[in-house]
Amino acid sequence: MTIELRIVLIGVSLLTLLFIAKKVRNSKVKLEDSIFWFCFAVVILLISIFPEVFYALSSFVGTDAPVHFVFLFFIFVLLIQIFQLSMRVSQSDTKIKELTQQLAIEKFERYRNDRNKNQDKHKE
Amino acid sequence: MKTLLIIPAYNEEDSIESTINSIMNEGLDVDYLIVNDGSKDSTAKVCRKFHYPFLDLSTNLGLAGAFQAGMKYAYRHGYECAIQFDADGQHLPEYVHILEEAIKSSDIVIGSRFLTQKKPISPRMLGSNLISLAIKITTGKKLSDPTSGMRAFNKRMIKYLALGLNFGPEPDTVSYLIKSANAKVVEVPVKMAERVAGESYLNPWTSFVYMLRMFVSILFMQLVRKRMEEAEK
Repeated sequence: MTIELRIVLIGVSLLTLLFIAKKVRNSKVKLEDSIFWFCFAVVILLISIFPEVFYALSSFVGTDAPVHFVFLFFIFVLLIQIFQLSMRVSQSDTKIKELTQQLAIEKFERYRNDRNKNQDKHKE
Repeated sequence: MKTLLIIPAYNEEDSIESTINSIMNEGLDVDYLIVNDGSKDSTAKVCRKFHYPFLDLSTNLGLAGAFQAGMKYAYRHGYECAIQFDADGQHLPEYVHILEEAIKSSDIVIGSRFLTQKKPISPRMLGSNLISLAIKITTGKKLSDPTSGMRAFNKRMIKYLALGLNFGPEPDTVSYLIKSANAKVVEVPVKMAERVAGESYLNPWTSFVYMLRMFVSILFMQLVRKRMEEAEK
């Protein structure tokens, strides 16, 4: 990895950390979700300061250049995260659907109950 | 004191009846509220059959969401103390009045298994020690059993937990409240039983992820959050 790339990585990870801190501070994100990004930024920071780990891993896997392995590694990490996100979106969709259906049924039942009560009153 | 036991229940059809019976038999002067967290089994049916007071969540929100629903109820009805109580029979009702007594002079009371007894040596207790350490570092407060699920909150805390984001019933919330709302936390010795029926949320992998999450959350994420007074403005 060139020194320029390392500086860029350090800058990016620090910015990410700052950004997450700001969002957590203003209660814009759930803590559970922020922890992934926190760890992610810390890992980038660590490998840009100590790239030797990735040199070793890169020569073990046999990629042309260590930087290729860095890209590959983060593509995998991000793929996993995207997959988990899309799972969460599906589940949220299902939950909203269920809530809406439940609410509609209860609204109708309440309306029917109210109408029956009113009719009883008229009869009296 | 007006006290509410909040009992989150997810698929607890086998244990909910014996748990409620044991509370009733104790003759406690408290209200209780089951929060059925979108159970797939017949937990709601059991609650209806015996006329237990319960909130019926239409979907599964997880422990934090279910507990917060109970907290919202406690807040709206002006309860002075809310106690988190497990539906699976692990928490024993004879200790409820000890928590109630201690909450009169503090903000949060934690029922600790390890005040009088030594911690057994196991991977989970190692995690518990790590969380204790993280809380000690960030708040200076020593908690012997931070992951205990038996906690009592007073009126001031009920408001925060009912209305806020990121106030799940977990150790990181406790550490945040100590630091940012000057919450006074007290531990009282309790014993716990083995669960009566059903399966725990926690297997080795989820326990590990949970411990890691708590550790990072307490050591780093809680520090960047706004203090309570600032957040209220």
